[in-house]
Amino acid sequence: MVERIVSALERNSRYKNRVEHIEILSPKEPTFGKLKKDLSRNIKNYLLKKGIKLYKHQCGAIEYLRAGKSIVITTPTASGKTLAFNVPIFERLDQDKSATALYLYPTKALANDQLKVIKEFDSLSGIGVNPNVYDGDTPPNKRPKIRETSRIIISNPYQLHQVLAWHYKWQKFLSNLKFVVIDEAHRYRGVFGSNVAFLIRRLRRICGFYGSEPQFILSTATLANPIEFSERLIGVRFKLIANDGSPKGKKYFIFYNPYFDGISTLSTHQETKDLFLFFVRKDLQTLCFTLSRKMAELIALWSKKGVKESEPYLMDKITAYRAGYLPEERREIENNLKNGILRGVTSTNALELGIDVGSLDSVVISGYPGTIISTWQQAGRAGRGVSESVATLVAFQNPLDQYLMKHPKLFFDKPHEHAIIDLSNPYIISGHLMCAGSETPIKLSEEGIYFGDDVEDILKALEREGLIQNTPNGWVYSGKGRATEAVSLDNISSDIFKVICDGELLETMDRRQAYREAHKGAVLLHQGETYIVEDLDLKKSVIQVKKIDVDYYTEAMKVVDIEILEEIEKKGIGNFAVSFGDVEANEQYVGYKIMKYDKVIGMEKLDLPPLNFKTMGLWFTVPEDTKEKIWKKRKEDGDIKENLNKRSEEDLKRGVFAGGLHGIEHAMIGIMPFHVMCDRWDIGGVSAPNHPDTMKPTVFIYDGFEGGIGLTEKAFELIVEIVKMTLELVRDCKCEDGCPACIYSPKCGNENKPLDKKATILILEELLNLMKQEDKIKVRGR
Amino acid sequence: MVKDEEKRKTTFHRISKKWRESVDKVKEYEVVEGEEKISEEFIPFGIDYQEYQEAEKLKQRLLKKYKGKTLEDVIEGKELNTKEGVCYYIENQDRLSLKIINPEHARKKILSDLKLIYGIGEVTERILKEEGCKTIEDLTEHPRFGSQAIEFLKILDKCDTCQIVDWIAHWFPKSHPLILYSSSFHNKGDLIIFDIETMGLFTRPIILFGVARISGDQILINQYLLRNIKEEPAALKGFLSHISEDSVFITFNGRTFDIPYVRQRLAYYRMKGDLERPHFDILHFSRRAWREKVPNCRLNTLEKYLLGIARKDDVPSALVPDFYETYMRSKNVGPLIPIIEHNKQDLVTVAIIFSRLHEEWR
Repeated sequence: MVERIVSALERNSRYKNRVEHIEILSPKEPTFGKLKKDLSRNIKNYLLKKGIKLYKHQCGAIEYLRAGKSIVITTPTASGKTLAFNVPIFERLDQDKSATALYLYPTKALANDQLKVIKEFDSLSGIGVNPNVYDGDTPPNKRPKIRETSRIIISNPYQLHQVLAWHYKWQKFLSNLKFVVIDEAHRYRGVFGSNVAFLIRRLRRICGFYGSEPQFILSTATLANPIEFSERLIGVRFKLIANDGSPKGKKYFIFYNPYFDGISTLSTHQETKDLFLFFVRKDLQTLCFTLSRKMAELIALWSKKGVKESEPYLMDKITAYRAGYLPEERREIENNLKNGILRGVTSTNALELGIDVGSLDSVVISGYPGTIISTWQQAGRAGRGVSESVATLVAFQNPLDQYLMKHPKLFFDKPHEHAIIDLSNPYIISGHLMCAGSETPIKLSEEGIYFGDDVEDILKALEREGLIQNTPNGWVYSGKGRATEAVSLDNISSDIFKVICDGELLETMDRRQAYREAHKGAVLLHQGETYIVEDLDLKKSVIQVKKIDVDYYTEAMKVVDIEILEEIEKKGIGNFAVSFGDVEANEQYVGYKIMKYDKVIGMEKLDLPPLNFKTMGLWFTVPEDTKEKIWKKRKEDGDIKENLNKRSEEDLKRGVFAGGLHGIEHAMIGIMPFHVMCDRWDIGGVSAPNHPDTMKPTVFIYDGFEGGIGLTEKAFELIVEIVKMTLELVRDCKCEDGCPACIYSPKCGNENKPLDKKATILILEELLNLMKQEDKIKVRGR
Repeated sequence: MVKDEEKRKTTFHRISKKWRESVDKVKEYEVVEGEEKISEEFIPFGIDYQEYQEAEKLKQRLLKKYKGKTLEDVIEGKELNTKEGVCYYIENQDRLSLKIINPEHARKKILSDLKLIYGIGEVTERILKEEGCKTIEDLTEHPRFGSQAIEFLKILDKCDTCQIVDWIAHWFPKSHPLILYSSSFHNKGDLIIFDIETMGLFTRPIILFGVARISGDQILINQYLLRNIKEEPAALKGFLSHISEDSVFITFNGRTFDIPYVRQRLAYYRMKGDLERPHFDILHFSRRAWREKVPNCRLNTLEKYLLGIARKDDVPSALVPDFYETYMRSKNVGPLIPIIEHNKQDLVTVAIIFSRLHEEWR
């Protein structure tokens, strides 16, 4: 059936040109496995009652865990990962009646979902582990009993962060802790991941205190570096379980490009709505992922409108789903998806995680989610057992989406992203040292293994501020506020602004977001409603808004400059040199645009102080003679010739060169998320025809986070690939003078001016030439 | 290399400064991790601006007055030596007679409540009493309730307060007078009235331990003060030295605050200390006894309304951490004085209110 629908799409004149590529993922037979030693009767009973036969990868996981190893499982969604670790955990908890296990899920919803599965395992097997969720919602009077009697406790990192200081109450559970399960582990990457990595080290430290040394089980989406990632996240050795033994149905993966001809009559959102309805009407149960909450709402709304006259019976079968809904509402949608009542649901990535909604026939992904991991996770929602399914990726006009559309092979052949964990970020380390110091005194002899080599110096720095004190018993936390309150796991900024509407708290955001999105006059979107910012109080960190219905939105403009603080590493590739180091970026929001759809209808000035932050970045210079070289070629082009009688040659030359550098900066930032796991909004850039620190034409790319989070550090290593791919992107783009698909940036503070596509290509070619050259000067010097 | 080293340290200092700013901004919140809800009477938040300003003035006055003075100059006490190091030990005493109902009376009161026996509700109790079974002792021969009655009497005869309290608490709320009565089965000398001053709501050092005991018509007050954070283990030790097999705790909100706090700090330092003792937390009783008569059941409010005590130059509980921090940073002992006084007065007030409760429910 799916095959017929896909070919109908291909034949339909409305869609056919836009289908850039269809990848067919072949079906797969199951591979079952065998265990060296039989499972206990209790567990066999459970498997029997559930009609489960173990796949090969599940057996592999069981054997490793039986042997005391820690494992990372990377098999795809719906391959029976949970069972792969539940079986050996229950086996151990059955043999050792005091053994305990801790399961960590990134969200409360997932924890509750998982509780059902474990409870069923417990009651069908009769092993008696009394599983329970322990999180912020657990009533205080139930907590002591859970700690005392539950042998499987399901929680989340945020709760663990708060709980560790109370270890004495957890003594029984912690001293018998045999397993820690961390599901959806790929979520713990970047800054969040680095924080979780130290949280885990704090847990291991407290376990050591009570004499336990648990095995870790990580379950994650496919990553390029699962072992490296796991070992950095946890700090122990890992074994990999990657060969999926579960059966798969045939899957069609469609790349759909509204901008196939460079222009589009309909926006990606409209195209998404049409495709979504196309599949729903063909009776495929369809889940549509959008990039924002607002789009999830709007696409559901438009779709309902679309069927109102023609197919009114579909009205109730379409809905949106996102974070922010009440738990009961979410449960209801999840259940109605599972039992098939709902035929189409639009959702943010809230449903990308493992919430059990069953499997669907079709998934529409509106816009590349930024990572291959997420794309496959979302696509993995389609595919019921061995039946056929379809996933459709709808491209936006941005360079990355366009690149994928033009180079589908890259998507299907490329190994998935690297997940970054930064274990040397002093911001993160020092925060967790304060927390650790409030859990039990920090003894230098023991802590190096958890917190790295800088522990002593960091502690001394903290001591100077009175946050920690050195005592004969070790370093003791002595700050006035709770350490775990000051240190948040998923956002390094603890500088939080409150958004107040009519005296009530609407939401919170950090300082950068406040400057960018909640300056005076900004339109703030919250759950589909528009609010106008009346006041941004920088001292009190309070934003006053008023709910007003408007049909426009705002976009702040900023100027950025950058200063090199310290060069940490420099490397040469041929005659091309790239540096990496500490930089300080200064961002200033100078004004904002008032937008209606894609049109600017007004501009206002802003008077905000600059935001300074120290971070890490990479930079490379371009030989000064490049300016002349490219000018020679460029001045022969028609567009320049035309302008030569209007502007001076020097002026044009300057514009061409600056436009080329600027184009490189934009295109490179656009392409970086492909090599380094991040969002393009996580990275900043600056280009200067003559930067005061290098005295040369320079391009900077830097981490958009205080202290740096390893993004440009990784890009520094992959610079050759990045430069190559940037050139391919710009060169192969069908546009004339640059477009959002190549050198236009959606977040440029300079209105995308100056930009010069041809110069961008020429400079990039020059850079690649430099890379190929041997260092002649050096050779001559010998 | 040297320059690198310098640079690295500068970075760490810059980061530490940043942390200090964010740590200082953290506000204590209503419910902290741990199962117990911190009752509203305890929460020191809601300190009003005037109160804050007065305290700030007091602090400045003290800083001026005690500039250059040593602790010994200002507060009579001595250095206490323990296995865990040293701390500062302060002794005081005062007249105070504790009016606790006598144990026979308490026993009578308890035994005359037949509802303590499984299966007896209000109706059954009335019928039984009409039939002549006035006390639990009269029930020992009863075919249905006899064995329960005998069991309870055994516990009562042993004077095992923990078991008595557990038994009563099974049938009545924790604030019930019958529970308070069981406190009279102990010698006055075994009562440990205690109260701690801390750097915050949990997970930070306890800076002062106050323990009061009753001896005749005297209240003996012992305080263990940290002159710096290093001295916390010694002060813990000093506090623990008062606890014997027969000790009974009398606190105000100690069940949810002081006891878990001390336990947390003991675990923090990996120190041993047995705090499993009968515990009469008078917050619950006070609430039951006077809730209607006072605006709230904070200790200071009770003190003001029931005992007519108006504290002078007091540091509000919420600002104890701030005062102590000022002391640590300035090394000026001035801000310590109201903390020590505050703690001492709290102990005395707890003792008097405990006594008042016994009178109230006589």
